[in-house]
This record gives sequence, structure tokens and C-alpha cells, in this order.
Amino acid sequence: MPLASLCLALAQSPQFALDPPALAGVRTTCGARDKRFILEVNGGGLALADFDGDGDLDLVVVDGSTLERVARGEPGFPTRLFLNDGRGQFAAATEAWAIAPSRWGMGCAVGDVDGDGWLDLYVTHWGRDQLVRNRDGAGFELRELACLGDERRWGTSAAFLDFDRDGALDLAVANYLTFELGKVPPSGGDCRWKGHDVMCGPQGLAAEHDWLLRNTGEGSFVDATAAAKLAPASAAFALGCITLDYDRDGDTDLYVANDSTPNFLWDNQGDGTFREVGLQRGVSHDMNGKEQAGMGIAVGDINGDGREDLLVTNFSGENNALYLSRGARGFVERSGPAGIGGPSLTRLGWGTSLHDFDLDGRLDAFALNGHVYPQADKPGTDTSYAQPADFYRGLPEGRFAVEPLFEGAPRVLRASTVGDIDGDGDLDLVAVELDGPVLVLRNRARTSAAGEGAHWLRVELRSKSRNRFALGAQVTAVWSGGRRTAEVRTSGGFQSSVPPEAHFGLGSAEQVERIEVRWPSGRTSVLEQVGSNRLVRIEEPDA
Amino acid sequence: MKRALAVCAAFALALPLAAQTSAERAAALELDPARLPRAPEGRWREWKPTDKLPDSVHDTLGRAFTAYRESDYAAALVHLHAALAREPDFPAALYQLGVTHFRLRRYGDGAKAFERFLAAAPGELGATQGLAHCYYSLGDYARAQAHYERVLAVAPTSAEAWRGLGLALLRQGDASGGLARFERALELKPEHADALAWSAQALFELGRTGEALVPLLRSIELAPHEPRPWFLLAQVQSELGREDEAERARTRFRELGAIEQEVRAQEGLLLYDPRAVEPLARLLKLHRAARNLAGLGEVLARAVRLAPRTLELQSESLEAADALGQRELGAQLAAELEQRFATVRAAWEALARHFAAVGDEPAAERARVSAARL
Repeated sequence: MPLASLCLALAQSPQFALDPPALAGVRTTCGARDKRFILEVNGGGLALADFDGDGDLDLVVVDGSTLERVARGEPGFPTRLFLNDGRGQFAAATEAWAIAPSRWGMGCAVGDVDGDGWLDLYVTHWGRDQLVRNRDGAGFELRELACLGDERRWGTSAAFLDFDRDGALDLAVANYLTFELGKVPPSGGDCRWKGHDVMCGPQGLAAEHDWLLRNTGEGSFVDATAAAKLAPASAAFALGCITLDYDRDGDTDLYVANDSTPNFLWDNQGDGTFREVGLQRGVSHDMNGKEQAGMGIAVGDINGDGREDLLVTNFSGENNALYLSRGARGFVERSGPAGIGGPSLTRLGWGTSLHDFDLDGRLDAFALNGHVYPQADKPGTDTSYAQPADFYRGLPEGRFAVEPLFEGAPRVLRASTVGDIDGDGDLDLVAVELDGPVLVLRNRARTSAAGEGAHWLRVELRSKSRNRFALGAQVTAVWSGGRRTAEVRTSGGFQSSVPPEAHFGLGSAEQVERIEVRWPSGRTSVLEQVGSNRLVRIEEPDA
Repeated sequence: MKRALAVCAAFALALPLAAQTSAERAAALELDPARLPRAPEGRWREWKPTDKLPDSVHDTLGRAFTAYRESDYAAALVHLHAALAREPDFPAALYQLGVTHFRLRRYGDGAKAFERFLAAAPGELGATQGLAHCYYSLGDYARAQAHYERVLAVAPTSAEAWRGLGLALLRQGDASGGLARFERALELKPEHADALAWSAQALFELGRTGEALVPLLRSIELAPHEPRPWFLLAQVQSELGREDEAERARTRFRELGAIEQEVRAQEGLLLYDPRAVEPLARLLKLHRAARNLAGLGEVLARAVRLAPRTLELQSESLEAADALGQRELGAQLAAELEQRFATVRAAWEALARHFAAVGDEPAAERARVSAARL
């Protein structure tokens, strides 16, 4: 093959490649394949974090259950940890890391709840949630709390944040609905979509209020939802949640993606309470003023203006919504002009993320897709059950080109998490295929010809407070030809958690001129002339 | 779809519907238009909408149009498929197939039908803005734009096509181009409430916020029940620093938005079960709450055609007739209500409200007394 053709072929290769041996034989279950109940469609969540402290990213896989197991009174399948060998190959962790199965696992969040420098885990369920403490990198232990819900409620995503700035990580939990077997009609009842019998919900079922759990210190929590005024007049069907400081006032706000109901933007008032401002700030509906069925959420500073923008994945017939920040005034939806509105209209999106995956200095994104109704394959639906996953390659002027995320047939995908699992500097991806394998997708940025000259920087923070990983800190990197601000968070995507770090693609810049950190405490750190292609760990300065 | 319907209206048939089994209707919904039999190439090239219908499909098409007019889209598909089996690619049937799929919100199938229509009868390009609507609804804005432009090249007086073209451009980030097309639509149809609202959206996106108010307020004046202009008005007022007005607009948007969401859900039910009584009654209530008189009139006409009527549908129909000032229909519905539900307290309560609304206080009082007795 001539060299030019070879280069063209490489350039046209999808950004990610499946790496089946990296996580061989790991599958999850979420009910039966015919999906007669809404309980059976979300799939389980994922988390990438360094749980054992060996410097690489380990993987948590949350698993579900089946209605037959529930009927027999058996627990669901357990949440599992897979340890990274440092080269991005995962192996099941030892018994010390085993988590006793609960009813039906959904999502997870990662944060250091007791300030001991080890990342702990929260797992949402249909049923009582689980708080899992990390025993100094040697294993997990369950921590029993009163505020973890009852058997009927259904938690989906969760996000750690220090909303009251007391230095301890609190927790927001997105709750979906009250699901009681025997009270929800199965598909074939009165529930129809595009003329086909489908499972019922969420409309017609009772939405659950979200929770805000306040950390009382040492990792114990109390329900602070009412005290913090996080309860709207009407509960909504929450599926995704993410932290951000949208108005850059120094406290952490919360965005919640709701299914078939307007999305919430909870503005932290700085006095321990929140105010819901989604409609005022332009992120509750699409540009038509229609509520959508929000699933996953990504946040990132697309245009380098220091303010993070929002990307929300939605149901088929609705476009994925890209909301560009206008600072404290809020956001404006620009999905169409960005080039992702139209192509996402026939997709049903879940896991998503905004990062510079190709390391060219511009943010990219992806959407994992797959319908909730197997009946989507019937005529007249304008969509399908299995769907291609989309990569949104960042272009100049805030536009994106839509490309296949990876090669292969369409799949029914759900949750995702991102992180540099093989330590090569680009961000890899792990994805859940519903009732199928957990997929490791290796980023080709550093191995492609174009990626050889691309540079990157990872920034980890260590705070002096019990919020050791500095969730909520803002990191701004400035390099020749670019600048970007990123919040250190672990929430993001759908029902999933990402590593607590900021990652920057630098294009051809070999060094970062300036890194500025605004710590949750309000302190700042500045580093200048930092070399690229490395992990920088920054300690919080003394007052 | 106005011009689209004009083609169908040329046939002006109104034959009674033949009863169909649910299996036939379900099978019609399962059929991909691409699998319909094909005619030899050029078979209908000289076809004109004014041509006499072939005898082989005359009755079948008539039934299809009747079903369509009665919003029984699955039944319309059954007849259209039968017509197309007898006369493959007959353009009028293909066209109506596209329109019917569009109404069913099956845009992919709608596009296939319209594309086949255009292939069979290329001279009728000007009537195919429905195809562009389908592309737009599938998110293919570039293709929608191209087809709107083709349509407008031969039918430049279609306000709907100009509006559609404006939307396709706006969705692709060309707010200036979109605005120019919305303004062209408004030259042709100055009271086009939707084009007014979209021109305001384009002005807002261009940063001409103050200018956006004029078309926006006019749009609200023409269609006060539509939530989207209120949604935009809240943004515009907020941008202009008028937070009190913005909050008032948000409040109205929330009210109308909640109603519209339920309207969409109920309409969705009726698409596939056109004789369902509960959604019709609910729609009457919702349109009345939103003061959507056009919507109310449409649903009322549909409800009046339907039998048997439940107490709820009969009562809601009566309220709707009163709200629309349709005195004669109201009197007829009141008489029917009294006759059918004379032993039901809620019926007399509805009659009392009706008589009070039409100023017949003695009758209202009699109805109140009857209600009190039950």
C-alpha cells in the first residue's frame, strides 16, 4: 500500500479499538433480554480509580440481577473490582476486595469519604444502596448507614461533592422511581410506543426525589436533602448527575439529567442550601422548550473560555443537547450548530464524556448508544435496538465531526468510564454492553502516526482537607495555542465514575506555560513551564 | 403539509370505511414501504393529480382518504397498501402513504414513500415538501435543506417550505440564513405564528435580542397556547435584564409546557388507537386549559363523530362547544347528555355549567336541582 493511502487509512481508523483480552470474560446482567420491565434496561455502572494505590487505574463493575432471582429472594450479582497490572490488563481482585451482593446494582460513585487518602465507593441499587470503605488499599468493607434507602426505591447515578465546604465529601444520589414488582404492568399491557407494545414507564410510575447525604465526618452520612432544599416541588426521574461550578463562584453546583422531565441545575447558594435554576439558566429543556429524556452527562470547557459546557445524552427522537456556558447567566443550547444535534436524533444515548481524546488540543466527546426497547427493531421506529457508538471529534469553532467510535457491528451500550488505563497518556474507555461483555476500548491517539507528535498532561491534586483528592478544584492549563479549565471530579457519564484528575491534550505544545489550581479551600497554586507527557501531582499549599 | 393535502383533496372521495381486523391493521403497520410492489419504470411519468382515478383503485383509495380524514391512520395504510398492490407505484397512493406515515411520526417510512412518489411522478416535485419535513425530522438537516430548495425552485410561494428551509439552516448554525427564510415565509403569510417565533429565535441567536421581541410577542398574540414562544420570551427578557417579565414568561411556559407534554402523550395514543375515548376526553380538557381553540375545535369534531360516547367525553365535548361558542352543537350535546345520563349527578352538574355559560339561568337552576337530588 502506498504511504499516502496508509496514512489516510490510519487517519480514518476509529479513535478507539476493542481490546477483548484486557478484561476477558467479564459480563453483566440486567434482567431478561426481552425487557418486559423498565427495571431491566439501565445496565450496571463502572468506575475507574486507583483503589490499591499502585499508581494505575483499577476497574469497578456494578452488576444487576434478574426478576427470577428477585422472586426467589436471592441477592443480585455482586459488584466486582478488577485490578490493573499497569499495562491496562485487568484481573479479578482477591477476596479481600469482594463486596457482598445486594439486590440489584445500578451505578457507582468514587470519593474519599473519610479523608484517609484512599478512594471509597458508593453503589446505587434498586433497593438499599451500599457504602463501601477502602481499607488502606488492602480491601473493601461495607459500611452500614441508616440513610441508604428502602427496597422499593431505585438509585441510578451518584456524585461526591463538598457542597458545604467543610472539607468532607458529601454525596448526591440521583433517584429514578419507585418500582414495585407486581404493581408495574409488564410489556404487552397498555404501554405502547410507535404502535408497538413495550414495557411501561417511566411515565405513569412514581418519580423519587433525589438525595443529598451530608458527611458528618469520618465518613458517616445523614440525609440533608430537605435541609439543603434539594427537593423540588415535583420529583423527577433522575438518571444522571454531575458536579460543576457553573457560575464560578467557588462552590460546587449540581446538574441532574431527568428522564422525560426537565433537567435540574442546582445552584449552590453558598449557605448550605441549593436553588433549582435549570429553566432560568437554559439547561432544563432543549431549544424548542421541550423536556427531554436525559441519561448521561459530560462536562468540559469546549471553547477554552474557562467555563465548563454541558453535553447531555437523550432518548431517540431527541437530540443530544450541547449547552454552551455563558457564565453566571447560564447556558445556551448549540447542538445543531456544533454538528451533533441532527446525527444524534435517531440514537438513544447513555455514557458520554468530554475530553481531548485525540490530544490535538480540542475537546472531543462520545456517546454510547442503544435503545431501551427491543421493539425498536420493528418497522416505523426510525431507530434500532443496537446502535453504533458515536465519536464526536472536536473541530475548530466549537464544531464536531461525528465518526464511529470503534469498528464493529452496532451494540446495545450503556455506561462508560474514561481514564488512561495503560499509562500511555491518552484516555481509554470502558463500556458496558447491556447483558453482554464489559468492553475495554483502547485509545489509538498515542499509537497512531498522528498521535506521535501529540502531547498531554495529567494533573492530580492532594488537598490538606479530608477531601484529599480535591474534588471541586478548578485546574486551568495554558499552553502555546490553547488554554482550558477542568474541574477535578469523579462524577460523569451515566451511572459511572471517573478518576479524580484533570487531563489535557496539548497538540504539538511540548510544555505547559502555566497551570493554575483553584483549590476547594479558595487557595491557589501556580506552576509555570511544566513539561508535557507526564503526570503532575500538586499538593495544596499552606494557607 | 398544506400543499401536500391539496393533492389528495383533488380526489375528494368519501367512501365509507370497511371494517378491518386488528390483525390487518397491525400487519399494515409492520409493512416497510420499500417492500411494496414496483411498477415498470416510467409507468406513471405522465401522471397528473387531475387525472381520472383508475377504476382498479377508485374505491380503495376513497376508503383510504376517508380513514385518513378520520385520523384512522392504520386503516388508511391498509387501504393504501391494497391500492398499491393493484396499481404499483400509483403516485396518488404513494403520496398519501407518505403523508400518513408522517402523521404517524414514522419519518423514515414517510421519506421512503415520498421518494418513491417522486421517482414515479417527477413532475410533482413542488408538492413534496413533506419529504423535506421527513428528512428534517430524522435529523438530516443538510438533506432537508437541499430538498426544500428543490421544492422552492418550482413552488416559490410555499410559506411552509420557506419556514422549513429556515429551520434547516438554523439547525446547521446559519442563523442569518434562517432569518432570511423565515422573513420570506412571513412575506407570504404574515400571520404565520410559528415562522414569527422562529424568526425571533434567529434574531436572538444573532444577538439582536431587542428586535426579537417584536415577532415573538406577535407570535404569542396569534398562538398564546404555544409554550415555545414563552420559553424564548423568558430568555429574551432575561437577556434584556427584565427579570420580572422573564419570570412571568417562565411561569406561563411551565403551565403550557406541562399541558403540551400531556397533549403529545394523548395524541400518541390516538395515533394507533383512534377510537380511544379517554385520550379524546383528556385532550378536550387540556386544550381548554391551554385556551387552544384551534386544537379544541379539531378534537371536538373528532369526538362528535365518535360513538358510543362516555359521560366524560360527552361532558368535555359540551364544555368544549361552549368554550368555542358553538351554540347549536352545544344544545345538541346537552340534549344527548340529558337523555343518556339522566340518572348521573355529574351529568346534571355539567348541564348546569352549560346552561349558565349560555345564559339560560332557569335551565341551569333546574339542572342544579336535579344534580342535588341524585
